[in-house]
Amino acid sequence: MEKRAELSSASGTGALGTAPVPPLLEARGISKRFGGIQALDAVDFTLRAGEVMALAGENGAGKSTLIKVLAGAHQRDAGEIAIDGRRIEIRSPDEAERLGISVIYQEFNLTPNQTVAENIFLRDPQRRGGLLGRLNLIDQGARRKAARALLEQVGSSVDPDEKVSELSVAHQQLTEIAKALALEARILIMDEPTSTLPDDEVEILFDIIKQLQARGIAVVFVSHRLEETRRIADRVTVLRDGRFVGEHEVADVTDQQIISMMVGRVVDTLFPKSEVEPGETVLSVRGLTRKGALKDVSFDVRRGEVLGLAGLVGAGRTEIARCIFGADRFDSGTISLDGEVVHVRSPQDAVRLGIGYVPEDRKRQGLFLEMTVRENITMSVAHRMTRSGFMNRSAITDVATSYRDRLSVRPPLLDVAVSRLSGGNQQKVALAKWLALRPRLLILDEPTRGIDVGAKAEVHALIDELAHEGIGIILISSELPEVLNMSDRILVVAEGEIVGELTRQEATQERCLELASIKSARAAMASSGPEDTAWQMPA
Amino acid sequence: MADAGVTTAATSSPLMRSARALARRPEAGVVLVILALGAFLTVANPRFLSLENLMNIARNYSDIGISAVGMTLVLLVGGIDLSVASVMALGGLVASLAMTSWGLPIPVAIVLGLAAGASIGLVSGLLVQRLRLPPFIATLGMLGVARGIVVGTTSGQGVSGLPAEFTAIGQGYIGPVPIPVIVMVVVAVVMALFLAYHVWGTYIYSIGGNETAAILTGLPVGRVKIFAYVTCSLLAALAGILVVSRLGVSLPGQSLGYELQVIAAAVIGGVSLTGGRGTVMGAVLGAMIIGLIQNALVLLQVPPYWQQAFIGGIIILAAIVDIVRQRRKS
Repeated sequence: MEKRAELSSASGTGALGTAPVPPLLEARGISKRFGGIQALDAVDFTLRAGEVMALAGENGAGKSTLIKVLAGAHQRDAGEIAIDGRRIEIRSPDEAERLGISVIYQEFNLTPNQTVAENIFLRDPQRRGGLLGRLNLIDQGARRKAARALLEQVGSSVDPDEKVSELSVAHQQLTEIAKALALEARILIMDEPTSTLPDDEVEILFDIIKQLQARGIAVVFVSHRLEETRRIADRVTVLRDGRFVGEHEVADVTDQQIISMMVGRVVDTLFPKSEVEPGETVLSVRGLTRKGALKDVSFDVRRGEVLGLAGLVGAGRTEIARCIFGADRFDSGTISLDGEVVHVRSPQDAVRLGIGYVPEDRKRQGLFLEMTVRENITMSVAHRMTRSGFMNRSAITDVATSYRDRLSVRPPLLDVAVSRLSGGNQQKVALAKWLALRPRLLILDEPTRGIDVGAKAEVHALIDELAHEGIGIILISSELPEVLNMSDRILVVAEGEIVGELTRQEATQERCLELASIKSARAAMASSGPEDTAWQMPA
Repeated sequence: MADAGVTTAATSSPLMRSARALARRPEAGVVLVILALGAFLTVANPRFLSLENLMNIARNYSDIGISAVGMTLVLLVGGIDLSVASVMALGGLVASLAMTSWGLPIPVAIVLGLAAGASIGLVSGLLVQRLRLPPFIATLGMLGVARGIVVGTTSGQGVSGLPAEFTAIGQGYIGPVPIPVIVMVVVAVVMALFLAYHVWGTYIYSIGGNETAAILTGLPVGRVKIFAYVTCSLLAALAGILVVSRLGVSLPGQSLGYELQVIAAAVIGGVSLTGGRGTVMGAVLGAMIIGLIQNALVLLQVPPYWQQAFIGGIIILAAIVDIVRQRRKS
């Protein structure tokens, strides 16, 4: 392998590196096509030893494809890649690792039923010396020791003999990093490493990245959160629609500029919330209790009001939504709509009563991925447009068209399977399904999770618009800035109880965190240890 | 390779494009297999292509085709019905007893046979939906129960002496087409139209595609699933009654083991075992493929005792094709 690389470099250096000191990694004109989609179109990417390079772009911009080309998981259609100025081929993940490129994907690449040490030395299991080594016998002691040394380097105190499945997300991530060190990686690519980490663990990760940097390892860092990019990265490469948009020193550009580069237009504001004079009370919840989940939850929502539910993950916000929507039973309490007590025993009842619920996991709970945009948008209302059960196709098409246009679903097609759309557009379809119902109450559970900045701004604008139309809205989000900026009033939920109510004016991140964690801290002391709960910080 | 495909698609004429769209329809592969089998059989035995022989094959497999239509509904909602063969026998027996022992008029007897079958589906549906039993277990149990009722009622004896007006249905023709084949075509067309144009047709695909989302969209998931099981059993009973009518006798071992062929027909026709994908027409064509394959095995002088092994192998093959197709999509 090594030989072949050298040979090809003889003809390749001229075309590539002209700089006196070639960068650690240089990719030029990388293109990759999947069927009819040009995922990467002549993208350039350079990486210097010891730097942290952020890779920014909306979903579908080509970040993952670029990573996978560098990782050897995809084969490029065109372009050249050089390491230290020598042209190389990366034909498989195996080859990438031998070239010193390690990738840590969002879904870790660990074997959960094996120990930490086994995982770290998955490729080189530390054979014994001599004859026993020839028989592929493993030196357990040496492996354990070597694993412990590597774990120490990444600041992990995990026992090398522990099974990976027993570890927290943060420690699994550290194990992945140790594994990369065992492979003597010179380039470490991390795909959204912070998205599943609690705040304090993010700090630890950043410290480790800085240490790696000091050892000359180059880190490619992918994150949707700009403030993190700003804190950790030296430079940022922006992709849009599979094309290279720019490469900048992070210090030279503002957040606004990065967003504009990503989206391709100027985004004035991410949170377009305007004042709405709330109307009559549309929803009244009194004493809602569900054993082990909710305790005596009472609140009102008025027409035109956006009520934010803030709290840690697992605090009970989704449970409140599911009880109101009839997806879960509750033990006691009442729910009233427009002053009338209603019995919501199933989502079917809720829909009949005009309650819409956009669930947190659109792929698993919200959408019919293999079905068309038309079918998805009209799923909750199709039965109203029938004669003895047979559908009035043109009426259905009219409804689907109008909501597709209102939410500007792109591409503007009706007969395309939803699975073909980007995350943001899928979310718009999930929202459209409920708007078509013309609900009086709409519950939005993490309405912008995992969608890119542009779509996020659009969803926020829509929330504001719906409030103006007099719909009562409950907004659940783990992103505090979203709750703070989009809500008229905020309830803080902890341990299944409402622990505080803040007006728009009073609410700050600190106040919310304080309210949420007093209760949680008490519970944490009572139970064995803190949950993996996280506030997600501004994106 | 992907590149080449894209270029040709972009440069091809509208005619080529519609041909391509046609080829992409799920039934296209099935039609190709039928044509290939037909070509082979014609070469092997020129008599194969006679109208009489073709109609014979179609009639002999119309019971599989009719049941496969019902099976398609159950598979589409993400279930499976192993009890169809027993329900075929039960439907046939109840109709026969009604005509002979109870002396009821033929139409009433047929309705009773259908109702007996449908009630088995209702029980399966309730077990699956209300008690959350896995469909595999619920319908495996009903396979035993329905067959047990047939054998128990008759003490293992057949029921004969059916009125000639009744046997005329299964043995009769309209023009050159056997009546059971006409029934199969009508059932398939009605069900295809139902799935395409009735709102419950959409629900059936939604539930199989993503049951959680269907529940959280407020769709009547329970009722639709029970409907699928009841319809499947109803059609199995209809198929069974037609078989009895054709043979002129109801035997306790009638259609024994046919669930294999019915499921095979649906899966060969492109109905996914994981729910949400497939068409009624595909399932009917799948039944015809089974007919042709068995015809071919006879022509190749494969002993009939080996046919079951072939059908089993074909199910597995069709399921592999389904999985590969799904993977390629994602």
